Amino acid sequence: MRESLKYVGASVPIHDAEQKVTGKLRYLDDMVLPDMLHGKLLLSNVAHGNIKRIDAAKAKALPGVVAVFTHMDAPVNRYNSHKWIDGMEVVKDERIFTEKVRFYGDRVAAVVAVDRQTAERAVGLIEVEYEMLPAVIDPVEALRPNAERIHENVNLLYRKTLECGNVETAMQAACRIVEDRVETPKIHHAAMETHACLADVDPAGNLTVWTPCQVIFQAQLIIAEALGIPGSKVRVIKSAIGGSFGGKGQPVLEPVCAFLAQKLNRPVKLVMDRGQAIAGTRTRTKTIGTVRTAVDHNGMIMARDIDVLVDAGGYFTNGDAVAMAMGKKAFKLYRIENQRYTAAGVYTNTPIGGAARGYGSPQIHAITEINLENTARQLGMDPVEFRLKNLVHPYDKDPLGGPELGNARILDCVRQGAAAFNWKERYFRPKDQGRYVRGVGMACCAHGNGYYGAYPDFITLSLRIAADGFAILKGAFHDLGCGTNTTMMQIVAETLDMDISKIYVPEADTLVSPFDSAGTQASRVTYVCGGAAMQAAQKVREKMRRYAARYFSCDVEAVVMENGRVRISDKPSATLSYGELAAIIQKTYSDEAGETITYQSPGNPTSYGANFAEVEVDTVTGRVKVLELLAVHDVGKAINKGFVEGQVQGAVQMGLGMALSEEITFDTQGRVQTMNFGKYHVINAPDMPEIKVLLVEELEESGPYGAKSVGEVATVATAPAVINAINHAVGINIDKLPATPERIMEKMKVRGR
Amino acid sequence: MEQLVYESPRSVHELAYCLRNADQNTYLLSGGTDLVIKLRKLGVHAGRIIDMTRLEALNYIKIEDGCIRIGANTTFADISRNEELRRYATCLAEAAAQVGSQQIRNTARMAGNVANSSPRGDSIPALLALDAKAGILNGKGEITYKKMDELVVGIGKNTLQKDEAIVEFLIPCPDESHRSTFGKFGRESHRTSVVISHINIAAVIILDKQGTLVKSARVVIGSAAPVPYRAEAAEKALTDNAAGLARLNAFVDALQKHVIESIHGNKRYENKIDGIAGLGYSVYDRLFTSQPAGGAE
Ligand SMILES: Cc1cc2nc3c(=O)[nH]c(=O)nc-3n(C[C@H](O)[C@H](O)[C@H](O)COP(=O)(O)OP(=O)(O)OC[C@H]3O[C@@H](n4cnc5c(N)ncnc54)[C@H](O)[C@@H]3O)c2cc1C
Repeated sequence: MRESLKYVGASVPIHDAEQKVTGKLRYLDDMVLPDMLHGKLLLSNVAHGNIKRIDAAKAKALPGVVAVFTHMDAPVNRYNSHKWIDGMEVVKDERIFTEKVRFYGDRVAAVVAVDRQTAERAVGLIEVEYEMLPAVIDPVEALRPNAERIHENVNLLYRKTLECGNVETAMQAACRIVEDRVETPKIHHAAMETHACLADVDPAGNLTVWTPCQVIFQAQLIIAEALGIPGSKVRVIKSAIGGSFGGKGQPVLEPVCAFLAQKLNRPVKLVMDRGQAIAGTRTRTKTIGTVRTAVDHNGMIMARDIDVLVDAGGYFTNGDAVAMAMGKKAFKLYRIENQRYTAAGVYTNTPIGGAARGYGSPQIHAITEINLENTARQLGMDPVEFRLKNLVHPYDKDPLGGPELGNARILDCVRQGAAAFNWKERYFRPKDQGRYVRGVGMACCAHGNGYYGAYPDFITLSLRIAADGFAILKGAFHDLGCGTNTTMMQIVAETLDMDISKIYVPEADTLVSPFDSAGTQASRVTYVCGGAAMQAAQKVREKMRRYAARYFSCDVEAVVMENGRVRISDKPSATLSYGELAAIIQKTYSDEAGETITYQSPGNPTSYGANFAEVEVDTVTGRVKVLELLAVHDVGKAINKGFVEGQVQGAVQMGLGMALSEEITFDTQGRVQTMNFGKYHVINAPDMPEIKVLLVEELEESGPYGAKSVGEVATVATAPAVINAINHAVGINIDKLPATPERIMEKMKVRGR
Repeated sequence: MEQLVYESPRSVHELAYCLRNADQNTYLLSGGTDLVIKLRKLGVHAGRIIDMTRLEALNYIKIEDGCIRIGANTTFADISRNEELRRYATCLAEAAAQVGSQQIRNTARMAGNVANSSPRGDSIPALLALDAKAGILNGKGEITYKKMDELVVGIGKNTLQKDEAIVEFLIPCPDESHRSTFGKFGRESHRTSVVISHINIAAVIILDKQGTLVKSARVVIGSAAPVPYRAEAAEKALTDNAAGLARLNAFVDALQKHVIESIHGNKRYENKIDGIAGLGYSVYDRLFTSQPAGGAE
């Protein structure tokens, strides 16, 4: 590897920046096919009920309506949209259209019409009669033995435990045990683009589906399972995407849209409005966690016992996977010899849980980091000092025997962050006396790098240099706006030492992209796919050097590849551009200047981060202003500094929402109350604090150029840091997120200020 | 065949003509930030739209005969930026500046806000506190004037007839030392912009010559009842009382009592009580401790 890097570490702009800012990029809803029809879904407006009767006569009579579909016309096949690869064992409980609605937003019917307005109007004309059932909204209620059943089985989905050491014994020996119960809400991903899909059928009956998705092979698999057809008859093409954050991970519209096109033998486009996206897709899973942390006099954690209730909503999807993901993270952040994590999952009559940036990490770390700060408070210790005593060190082993932590640099994050934030002085400064009171808080977090250790994690890539000097990297890449493709371009440009503008990385297409086991999820792309891109580029480089040596009759060692040209070290006249060499390889040796590799992920190191927040609380109204936020991240190596900062800024915005305002709420009958952005408040630009980003770049050996993930972990520490700051400011203990002004006032009144 | 007919009068005369045959299915369109949403929600696909935004003659802010006059085709953006309004009708300029986002303010008109008659509308309390009147044109070409409490009478209810349009607002221009201000909070959110009022307040005070005693006050609470109302007890707390903590506390207490009475024990609205206290302290601060923005200078 060269000493100085040319492309890796630079802030290369995202490849489609110009198309985006000039409005030229075609998002799914901009796509039009000849003869295309428009679909519109009817989602249930009750939380729980059996459909007794659907009368679509009026809708069908509306001029322009082509068809109306309900559970009576749809396949009975059940599927679980969380499944992304064959062989995964899942509970299948979802259908294209349901005969029993299990939450406000469940899919009842679809209208297909010649234009969208007609489809929308027709949806309003469908009459549905329900046999109403009691709605179970509270996950604790759902566990009661006599609770109304949401599916055939009881509402309890599973109960699982992870444990190391002996928690009971260690608890008995502890000098102090601090217990907290923390609730985290259902959250909407709030991607700018709502869910959308377009499907077409060819004369042979093969389906082509365009979708802004995260995993093309998952969409293919779910469509195949839902429709009962071979996956190979379904081609899925990833379209441009206007944000996902996990929300477009599980296929929601894909099987429905494919079904509509298949039935009508015409292209059909299906787009959701905001209310449908909020209620009828996926949400961040609601959790209720109870933590007991046992410490000794010196502030060493002796044991911890975590119990989490996971609210999966109306269908199973990843209800167990998210619980396990949460549990595993709890063992990777602190050195805790005796720890137990117990999780139970439960159905409720609420919108479905799914993947959401951080996949459980924001929830588990909100629960545990609020508790840890409280523990430090009770010990009378500086929360930073307390954490520094207990955090993991580089190359620690996972106490559960899971993948090793790798070059874990959380201690550096906390030390450097505390210094940069001036933590000590701010934490111990005398409290403000007036109406507005400031406080500071911090939190740490951990997240993974792929699926190694849990699920198959490999990707096949094909990299070839053409005679025109361009390099094409084919793989199932899904850029979600984070810069995936550009990151790959940087890695290839760096490894081959060639002009980055001559590298082309197309997006995923099941027909032409080589197979990838897991798609853009689990924070695996930079670490796993980037590792694969680097290896593919190395192999191509070696191959080109071998052929160049043959061509120039010299040793391979004498072949230098540099700046897009090949030269022989002691023969100044022997030089070729990469394109010229590629042409020679093709013509003279009947081979290509390319390689196809299958890359198995070498590990699953942990990415770490710490957030430091300062807030100001209005003690009269409970309103909070976040004054400053410092995010420190152990990223191994930032392949693209601009992207990393962008990820952190956006992730903090989501974390602030989780802390302060974002929550899907229900009335007593389970009807969603937050069906638009007027009622569901994300943090908007004027309320964003100044965010400072500090990167710890100590290189993770197993990652490409030392890189590891940041996109998900960056949203994890924000909410607990802000909650801890509020608690610090006014001396309360927030136990339910988001900390709305109302909840803060409630706590302050109890405390008696 | 269903159709929406669109008319865009270019003069007040043409407007009166358009209003003449207005019926149940005629809609006046200003910025459309309420109307378009409403039409879509109700599934209205037929009728007549009279576009008020091409009426250049109704786009003005001027002071005439001791009155501030604001044409109905003036956007909140223009109202919020107008120097004279910021000086003589501070509370209105402040309310305008807090309506929606910049994009909304660039197109939303105060006439639309008043005619929409939402209890959460931000300009209505400010106009009421300023004792403003709306000039209303009918299909016969006649103009009448109504005060805010004669115009806005219930949730989404007003006394405008189908053939009537608001054409301007008249605000008496204070000739004495006065100050005014506006404040609002949204529901269950820390948001400071793009919020629909969960509680809001507008206050106008007239000070004596020395600028210490309040000679008279008009305080209006909005978003707490079906229509914004004068908080008389709070007005009294301010009037003729010496400056100091006692006056501040009496003012905030009175505001809270008003709100408590307005919400009729409804749990969902309880946080308006803390909200009005917060607004009360801030409003008081702006009225008394900052430099006067009004005629005292
Ligand atoms: C994102 C968003 C944020 C918002 N935030 C706020 C906020 O913070 N505060 C607030 O108060 N409101 C807010 N609103 C509501 C809305 O923007 C205001 O009420 C606005 O002033 C309406 O004015 P308009 O010009 O858009 O009226 P329109 O929508 O055109 O009309 C509204 C109503 O008034 C009638 N009308 C229009 N012009 C006249 C006229 N000259 N004479 C008689 N009747 C007329 C229409 O027929 C209609 O019934 C918000 C709306 C949105 C979409």
